[in-house]
Amino acid sequence: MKYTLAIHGSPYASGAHLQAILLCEAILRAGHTITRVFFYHDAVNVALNTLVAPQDEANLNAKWQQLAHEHGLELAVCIANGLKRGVVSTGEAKRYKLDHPSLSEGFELVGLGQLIDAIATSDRYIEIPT
Amino acid sequence: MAMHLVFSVNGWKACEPCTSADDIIVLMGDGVYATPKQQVYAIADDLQVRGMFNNTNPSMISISYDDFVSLTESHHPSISWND
Amino acid sequence: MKNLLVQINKPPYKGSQVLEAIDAAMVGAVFDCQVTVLFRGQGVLALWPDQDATGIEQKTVSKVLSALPTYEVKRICACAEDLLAFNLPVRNLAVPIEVVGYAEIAELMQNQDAVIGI
Repeated sequence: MKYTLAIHGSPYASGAHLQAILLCEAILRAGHTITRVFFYHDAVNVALNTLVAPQDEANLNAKWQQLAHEHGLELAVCIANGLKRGVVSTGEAKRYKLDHPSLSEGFELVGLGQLIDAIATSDRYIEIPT
Repeated sequence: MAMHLVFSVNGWKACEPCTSADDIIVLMGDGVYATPKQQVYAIADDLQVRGMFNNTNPSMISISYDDFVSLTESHHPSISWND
Repeated sequence: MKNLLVQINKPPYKGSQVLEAIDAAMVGAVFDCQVTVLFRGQGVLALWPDQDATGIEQKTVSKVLSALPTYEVKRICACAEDLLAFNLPVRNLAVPIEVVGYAEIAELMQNQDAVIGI
């Protein structure tokens, strides 16, 4: 089966990301595919390349990147939600005349249509809320 | 046959009246603090973390994420409750 | 064509969460989904008429809601019990809604391909 996941919770004010990562791993173990992982609301903060995780806490950004790298997952960050929370790609940094991009490698900024499109082409949609 | 994912105690209060007889309920994260009277599933990791593993009521069935995925195969759509 | 339910369960001016959820409903409709919006819990408070968010430099949620029908969002529902709990004037809301009880909500949810929340 094809799954789409959406994460809405902020990385450090909710347990959403670790739950979603464990769920992604189980979905893949079961032989299913993940069409797209979509980050919405405050969940977009996990894509910042300026995050420094304390040594005794999970590095959620790194965990997502590793999952994406190992399984070719598409980590899609809502562009409208991302921009207003400081998540900018190289292209957007240029466009808004910012000194540096802040989007981590492995993530991409996409429109909300990419969530609807993923839902339309998947068998299952699972949302981890705020 | 819907799958209700409950993420908070208040989420369960909101979810309970909106369930049908053949729906299933899975408690996740702080949702495991809810005290439903009917049979529900709860994520084992989330029970363990909160010191709830040996304190669940008999109607609560603890499950792994692999079990969770099996439930998603047979139940659809999934609805998340976090009130 | 997919059946998509967007449920709004948070008060309208708790940051921009409700506006972001309404965006999802509108984009769903643009992408030819059969979209239903359900207001429940404190989400019904978004239906108060006469809101004015100019003072907090935000879009006025009730005005955005009134545009839903022009986006082909055909069905807008609100939970009967929650409307009553917050004393909302059912005949004079920001947008005309269909009042639904718990049993109808349960049935509505069962008939969806995906349910998006906040």
